[in-house]
Amino acid sequence: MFDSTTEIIRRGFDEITPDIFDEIMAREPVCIEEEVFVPKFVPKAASEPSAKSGTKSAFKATPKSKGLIAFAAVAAAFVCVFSGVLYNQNHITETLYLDVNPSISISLNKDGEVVKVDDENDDGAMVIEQAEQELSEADDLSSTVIALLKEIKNEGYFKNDKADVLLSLQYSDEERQKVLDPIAESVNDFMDDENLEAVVILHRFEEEAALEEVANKKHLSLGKHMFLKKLAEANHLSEKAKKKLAEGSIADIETFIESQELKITDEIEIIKNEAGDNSSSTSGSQGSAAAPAAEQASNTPVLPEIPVASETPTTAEVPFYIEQSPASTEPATPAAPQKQDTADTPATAETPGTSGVQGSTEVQVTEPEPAAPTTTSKQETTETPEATADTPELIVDTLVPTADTLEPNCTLDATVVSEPTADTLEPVADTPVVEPTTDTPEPVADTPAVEPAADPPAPAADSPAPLAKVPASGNHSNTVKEEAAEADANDEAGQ
Amino acid sequence: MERTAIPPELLPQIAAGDEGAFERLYRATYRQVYSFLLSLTMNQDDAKDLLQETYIRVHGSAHLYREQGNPMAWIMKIGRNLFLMEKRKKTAIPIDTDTIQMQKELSFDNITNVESKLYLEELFTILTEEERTIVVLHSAAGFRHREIAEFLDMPLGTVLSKYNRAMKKLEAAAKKSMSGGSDVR
Repeated sequence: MFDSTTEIIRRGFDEITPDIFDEIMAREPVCIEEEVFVPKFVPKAASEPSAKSGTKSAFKATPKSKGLIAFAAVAAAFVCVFSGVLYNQNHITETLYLDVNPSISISLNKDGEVVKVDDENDDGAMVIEQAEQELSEADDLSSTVIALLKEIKNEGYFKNDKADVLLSLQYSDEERQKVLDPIAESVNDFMDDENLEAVVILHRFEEEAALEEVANKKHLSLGKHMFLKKLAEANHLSEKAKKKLAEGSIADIETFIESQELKITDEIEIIKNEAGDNSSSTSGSQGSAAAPAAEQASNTPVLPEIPVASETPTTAEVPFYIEQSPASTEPATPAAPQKQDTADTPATAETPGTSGVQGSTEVQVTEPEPAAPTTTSKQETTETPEATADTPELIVDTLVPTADTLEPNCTLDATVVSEPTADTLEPVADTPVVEPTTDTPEPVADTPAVEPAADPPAPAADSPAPLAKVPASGNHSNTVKEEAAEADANDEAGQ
Repeated sequence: MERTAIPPELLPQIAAGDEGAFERLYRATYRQVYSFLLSLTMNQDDAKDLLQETYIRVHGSAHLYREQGNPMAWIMKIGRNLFLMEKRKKTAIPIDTDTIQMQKELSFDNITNVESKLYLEELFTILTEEERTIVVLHSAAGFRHREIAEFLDMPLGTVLSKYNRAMKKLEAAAKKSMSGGSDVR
């Protein structure tokens, strides 16, 4: 990538380098005996036997020589100890990668002491710069991590009191994996103290494996790269999907894992902390990162169960952006297809055939914004044009699994099939506004989106997040419906 | 990127007093060593003095070299140690600010290739010391990223990130300068 640039730089240096060989040769040659000076003691008697001593012991220690021996021994011991200590102090044995969006690496020596803190991206550099004072006061790994997390929080990376953190440990020895345990605990305590709703992903990988991967790593921290690699391998994600996930923040990735119930390996552990409440931990050995049902019921904005594969969604599945009271027992209806900004699609009712897939798509598209406070009203949630504008583009691209982001053998393919694209929504575009109802068979028949195409078209690259319209499904409040109609009217008026 | 290959037998030959071997080693490496020293000193005169001193040390301590990895790293380490010693000496002796100002001026006027001149100017202006060292070690001295990580005692991932970021900064700045843009710093 930078080949030509390196060549240009090299040529520049070549031109300005002076040739001083003659000057060097004109200098008096020096002979350096030792790299490190250690006083030498050659016993006089050893090289020149005294006549008096005859063949017996040639060396007789004098008080002066005894002093020199002692000095030499002490000096040698000092050099050995000092160099050993220096080596241990500065030799990096583990590296902890901290990824939120800022990415930072913390290098540790054999004793688990922090040797250095380095940035892995521009955001990370800014965080380190801002936290300089706190970092200089941090005396161990835990306090270093906490100092960084505090700064990350202060810089506003934890939006709406939600914190998603990836902690990846690159270890050289299996024994050293435990370094991560106290850190996980400290981070959990920090999240509690700060009253953050947190998801902390712990991940461990071997140094050797990492070195092999360095060439493939693009602009990610090695920790995040290794994590995505394992995730992709365990779930047969395609390169494109991996690339898109790489562009997302840890929050985006976590949402994707959860929504798609991706498998995670034993080396990955997901710890959830529900806003100041120390809670469940899901480890990779359990096979899925899906949160237990009880946990889901405990708070408002958690993700709903996303229909995967060919499962027909139940009526209880509700796109998460439609906020529900935890106590609500009202059966939820899957979301209606969302109107694309670019298409002139009026709001249309959700059709039974499309609901599951559609719902899945909606969730993926809109999830990051719900980072939105739990108190958000339905109206706020469905303030679509603005919300869409604010939704990072990568969310749309990253979190919507498409046929070409998932490999053929991926179980998520079926979910992908009916992903709403410009093509799939086109027939709907001419459909007049349909009163939201759960049983409108017509659109189903006409909408190609329900046809599980073998090669569904990729979503239009420039299509904005399909959040422009309020989902008009039966379980919505009138306000939502009214707003949808109003938004439609505005759009039509705009045209 | 050109990688400097130093025949392994060269250093023992130098140790045995073979001046021809020393010249071969010098010719194969002096450009790379100078670029590294220049990136450290940011002063051509100092870099030249250190270059001379480095090769005198290499010549005088070739018998101490133990084969391990890239001999270039060994030479570079000698150069870096000399630089650090010199730096310590300089900080101990107060120098008036005018002298410092003069010393900091780098001139690339004798570079004929406009692009190379521009890139080097940017290299010494917009990059941090760490970034500059990594770029020079890789681009000019031909070190692999893993060798740089070992040499600077830095995680490999960090070296890669810093290198990529530095090159992007450099390319963006150079492009801007070439298109007649204003100061990018």
